[in-house]
Amino acid sequence: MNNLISIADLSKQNILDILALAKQFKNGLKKRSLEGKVIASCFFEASTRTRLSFESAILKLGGGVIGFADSDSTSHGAKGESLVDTLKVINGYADALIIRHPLDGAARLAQSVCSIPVINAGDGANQHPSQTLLDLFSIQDSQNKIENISIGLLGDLKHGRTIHSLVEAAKFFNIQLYFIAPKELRMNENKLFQLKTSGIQYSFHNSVDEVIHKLDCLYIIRIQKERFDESISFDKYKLNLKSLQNVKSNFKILSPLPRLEELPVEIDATPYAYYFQQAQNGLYIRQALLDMILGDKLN
Amino acid sequence: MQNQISNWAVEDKKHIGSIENGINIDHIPCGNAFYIMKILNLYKSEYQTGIGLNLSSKKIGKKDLIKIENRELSAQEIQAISLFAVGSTLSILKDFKVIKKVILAMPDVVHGIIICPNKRCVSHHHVSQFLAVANRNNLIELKCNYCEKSFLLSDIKEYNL
Repeated sequence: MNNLISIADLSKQNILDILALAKQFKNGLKKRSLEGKVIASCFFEASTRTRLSFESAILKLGGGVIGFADSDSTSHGAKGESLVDTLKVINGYADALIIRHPLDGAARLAQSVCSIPVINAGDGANQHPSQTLLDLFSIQDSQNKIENISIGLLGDLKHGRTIHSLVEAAKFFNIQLYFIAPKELRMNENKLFQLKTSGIQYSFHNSVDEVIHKLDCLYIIRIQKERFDESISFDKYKLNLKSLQNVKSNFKILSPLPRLEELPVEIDATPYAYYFQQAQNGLYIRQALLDMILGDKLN
Repeated sequence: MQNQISNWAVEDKKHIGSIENGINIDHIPCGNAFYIMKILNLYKSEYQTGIGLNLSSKKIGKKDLIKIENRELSAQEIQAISLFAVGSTLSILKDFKVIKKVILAMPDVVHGIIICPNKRCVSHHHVSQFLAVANRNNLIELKCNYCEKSFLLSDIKEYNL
């Protein structure tokens, strides 16, 4: 396998291999495995962390980058060229393609029309597998283990693609999930059915204070208030310093960022804040992914 | 009129007619003959065709039925109609005798026919591809190969026929 389209395409061993190599990069491993390679970094939609960490990873591995940071400057965005035609053209210029696109399934489409390796950097509301891998890495790195962890998921569990991929991977590691969200933003029935059939333990909670003392990690996803009815109250779904009084000593807060009021800045100074380290871990995970995919070592 | 319809239901062979050579698709889930007619382009074809709608069936309660004289089906056409005719019987006739009979099953992959109900799916700009997945409560479920969303067949309302 020399693509990464969906977390569902990876085995448990694939994931463990990627996490192990990422740890080596975090500990200072230097490699020039992309020397002489050109990687197309094609972001048809805005991104800060994902794009810059991928591009930094390419440069650190000795590769070169071509690409764009939004679709307005492309023939696809400005002249109406079809996505398939644009992808076929890029396929001729690069040794691998990293793609972010606002439509669900765009990365799978890219894989079907390109002969070069394709890495999904986020396709609409569907998948964001490199984010899931860096989340798993951050859980493992902050807890010194990845099996038998209790994770609280706080925020918009219905629309967040990072959450959907993360819970999919939970089945490999016997992760206990605590869903903390207003009922309007709970995960949909299809997804819950999949979790149940995978044997994942989960429960629903109406406030963070109800479960925070049981958690090893709390993963916070931004609630986009503008998308919801004003009558829905989000006050019980915001973190504050008082909530952190009874947490376990190994407790860490994770977030894919960006954040708004659900994760106030005063939390940053506590020993529980891990989200900026998590963002940095994105670099190591993406170095590991590029090294393995371009080296055809992700079997 | 009501009596005539009842008679059709009891003796669809008599009223829709037997065919000498061709195909007979029986026990089509009620309402799905329309889709099969579109897939096989029966509106514009010159083949003599008998169509029965809302016929009584001991097996499935109500059924549709299509008989086409001198028509053969390609493997691709069988795969396409199977989507709308899971459990139906396809009989091939020669000299008024059934020479082959198959029960149609859900195809593993469906190309191009289903319009993904997910409006944000990239397949709206390309050829769709759906994979049959494990049945949930014995209902037919299909997963879009692009957006990875699963839908019950009964929830899919739009087709590219």
